[in-house]
Amino acid sequence: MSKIDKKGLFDPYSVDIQESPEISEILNYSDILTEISKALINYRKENNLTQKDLSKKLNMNQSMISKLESGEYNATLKMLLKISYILVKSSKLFIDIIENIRNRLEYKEEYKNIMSIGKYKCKFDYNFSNVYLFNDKNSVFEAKIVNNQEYKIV
Amino acid sequence: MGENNEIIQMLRDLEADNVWSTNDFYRDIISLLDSGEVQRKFIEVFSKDMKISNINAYNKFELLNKNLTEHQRRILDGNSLYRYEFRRNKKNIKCIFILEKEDGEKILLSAFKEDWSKEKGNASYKTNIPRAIKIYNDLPKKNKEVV
Repeated sequence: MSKIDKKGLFDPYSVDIQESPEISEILNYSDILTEISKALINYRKENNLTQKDLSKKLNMNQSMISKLESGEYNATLKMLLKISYILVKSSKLFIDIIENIRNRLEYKEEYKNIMSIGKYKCKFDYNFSNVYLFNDKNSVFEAKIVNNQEYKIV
Repeated sequence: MGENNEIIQMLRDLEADNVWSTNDFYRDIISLLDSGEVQRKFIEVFSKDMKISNINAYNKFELLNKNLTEHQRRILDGNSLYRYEFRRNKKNIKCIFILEKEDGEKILLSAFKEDWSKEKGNASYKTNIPRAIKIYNDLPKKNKEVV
């Protein structure tokens, strides 16, 4: 099966833009809703439950479950904690959701940093011992920093 | 120009979620979003919906494969063609995208405005599905094995 070469697609990093904090807020919020949705869908599928079954367990309408799963409803922290205690009898589900949100937002930031460093797409480790170079969106080369300026491909 | 920045910012964000876009999609969407308010709403709803993984559960998404000709299916090479609907009063915007079978990546192919009359609305599908498939067919392909 042939696969699309990403180089033929629109590259949003080819244009220099000033990112708007308002749009970042909207996009991060959609990430948060996505993680809540994913957690509920995963729980439901792992336990072979329908939306109706879950709604009975949580004492909610089925439409509310549907809205939570499609990211159309803004659940409060209190509500998420309550869901967690009903479903897994502890705060584990709630903590997992928060952890996944954190990982997702961090990944997004990291991805942006990688993709927006000029023509050479590269990423440094936190301690600057490794550098990963990208010659296009699909090929990653790991390299070591030799001194402050130079690197060699490992 | 500022409005384009917002769309580009959204496309950057979606790219990290493996939602890619074609040049045609970018041009289409820029021309369709005529006011800042609609654009903000579009970014909010569209980015959220495209990140949701089980798209078959929502009627904003519709699998178009059943309406395709044999030739069009061959072009798609096992991938699925979907349409997404952004509902906004009488100004619905529809997007057509490919869901790659192998890794579930989405590639946004084109966008168009729904014509409100039923007859013309149907006609807009007749022109826009072949257009989206042509855009897909014209994209450069590569074999998975090549590193």
